[in-house]
Amino acid sequence: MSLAGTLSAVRELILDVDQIPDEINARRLLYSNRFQALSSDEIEDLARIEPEQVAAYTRCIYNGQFSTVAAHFPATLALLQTAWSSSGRGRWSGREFMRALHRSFPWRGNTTLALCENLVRFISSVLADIATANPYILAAANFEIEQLKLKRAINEKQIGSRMQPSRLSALTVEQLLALKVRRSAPSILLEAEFDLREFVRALKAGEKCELPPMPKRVLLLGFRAPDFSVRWLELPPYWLELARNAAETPIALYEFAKVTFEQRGTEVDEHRALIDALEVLLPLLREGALLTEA
Amino acid sequence: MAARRGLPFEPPFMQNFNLPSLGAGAGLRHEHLRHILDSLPPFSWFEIITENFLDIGGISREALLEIRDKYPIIAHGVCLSIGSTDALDLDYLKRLRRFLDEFRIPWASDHLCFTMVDHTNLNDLIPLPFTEEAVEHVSGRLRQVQEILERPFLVENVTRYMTVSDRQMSESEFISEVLTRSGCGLLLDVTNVFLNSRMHNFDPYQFLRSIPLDRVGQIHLAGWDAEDDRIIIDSHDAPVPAPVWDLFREAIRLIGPTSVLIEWDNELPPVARLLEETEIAERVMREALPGAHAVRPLGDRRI
Repeated sequence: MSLAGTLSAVRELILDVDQIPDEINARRLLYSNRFQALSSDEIEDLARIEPEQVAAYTRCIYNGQFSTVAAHFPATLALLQTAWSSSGRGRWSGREFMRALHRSFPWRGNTTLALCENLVRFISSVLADIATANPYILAAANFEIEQLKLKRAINEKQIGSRMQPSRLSALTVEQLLALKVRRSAPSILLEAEFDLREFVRALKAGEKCELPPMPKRVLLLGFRAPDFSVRWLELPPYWLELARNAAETPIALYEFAKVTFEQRGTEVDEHRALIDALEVLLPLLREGALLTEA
Repeated sequence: MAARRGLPFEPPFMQNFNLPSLGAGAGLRHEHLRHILDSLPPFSWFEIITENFLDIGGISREALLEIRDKYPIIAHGVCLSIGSTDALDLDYLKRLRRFLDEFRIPWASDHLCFTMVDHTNLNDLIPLPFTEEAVEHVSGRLRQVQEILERPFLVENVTRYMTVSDRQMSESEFISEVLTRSGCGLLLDVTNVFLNSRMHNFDPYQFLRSIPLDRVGQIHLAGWDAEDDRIIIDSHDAPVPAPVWDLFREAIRLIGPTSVLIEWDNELPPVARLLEETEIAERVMREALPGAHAVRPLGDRRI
């Protein structure tokens, strides 16, 4: 028999076998049936491993995986844990949760992101009943995975520069509207059912925070501040296409104001629409989410 | 022996795998980056967990670019899975090579174990069976790794809570054979030797004398917090305990001045406490080798 068969058997014992028998003869029998390609010597070697020795790896692995996802999904897991028992799934255990995740979506590849993507898939498919009953959970998972991607994204060379506040305040309205901007890199557009920014921030800070009571379709632009921290700012939903395009093509601020007036022309006059657009655009420029052409 | 195993020459006598002794350093952890950059504490060198920085941007990368100009940096990986029977991840190795070049890292290491098999990530250091087949398999892959990385590469002996197979050879024979056939160096984890000796009832001092110590290019030391009678988790969350310092003293006496690293990854102490631990390591080295220079310069090893 081969090394490959032995390593596969060890993997199964650690990750997949729920109950390894305490008695060595029972282990010999179980492994002979389960790992039929292994030689009798190899079965004997595996049978000599005590269940508690295998369990040490099982515990370390699933606890370690849970620590990893807990570090990146504090809000998702806090919400999920609360919903868990009311879904009839019994007592919450982080380790058993990771074991269930592994059964449906084994961790392929060696990146943390791959494990975290499995978590989001698991919630939306296997835990669909919980996700439907508690829509905040999937919203939090989608928010937190985008946050992770943004945090870890490679540092790209920026095309364009951050507008200094002093320069910004010196511009006339016409000059300002003529400015062409791009999204900074890396940045992410996220359409969500709930704005969970405050909830996630408060949870990390150990503060109490209520969830937003009603679904509210939001468009968020995530980007990195100059100190590399991840920041999120809200955009009007009707800027989605412009904001998408601004990742690749320079777009004049006038275009954002124009779309604002087109969308809100029945509610407000042109002057008000312009002011509304600038109230969103100026923080984006000041914080470096939008960069002006060099 | 070398000719019988197909090596073209008998490996010459080496000390520390021809690597410089950097003295006692510490693991560079994200939580300490800001403090280290602001105060430049007198660490001799830092070791990074490769995967915490490889292809990851943000503040980690910027901080590492600054730190590498102020301290020697060595890379220690956890994802190579050198013992796996899955295909060697050549893409990972090429990215690793670019990373090592960019950050001017003179040597790298990973663990003598498997972490992934059947394309499933176990996310832990799982021991290999000590068999002839495993020796041959791992040695071939390590030769490939060294060809791609084009710099000294060390494998680390792991803690093992179980023995997958020792019917053909012991752990020390397995390690020795892999080093001989692959041409790799050894990252000797003294804590792991000690823990394995406790869990598998062997003499750790005898173990030290039975491996090719001239191949030791670096040493790891760590502490652990909790233990039960049979299984001691190598948790890297406590100071190095006295019996490990004793074993380390003997290792240094046998090996000579070597780059030594304090691994403290969980329940992280303040930087000052970590520095104290490296000072203890320096003191033990001086005691073990009175009159010897504990630190030899990095010299032209810096790429």
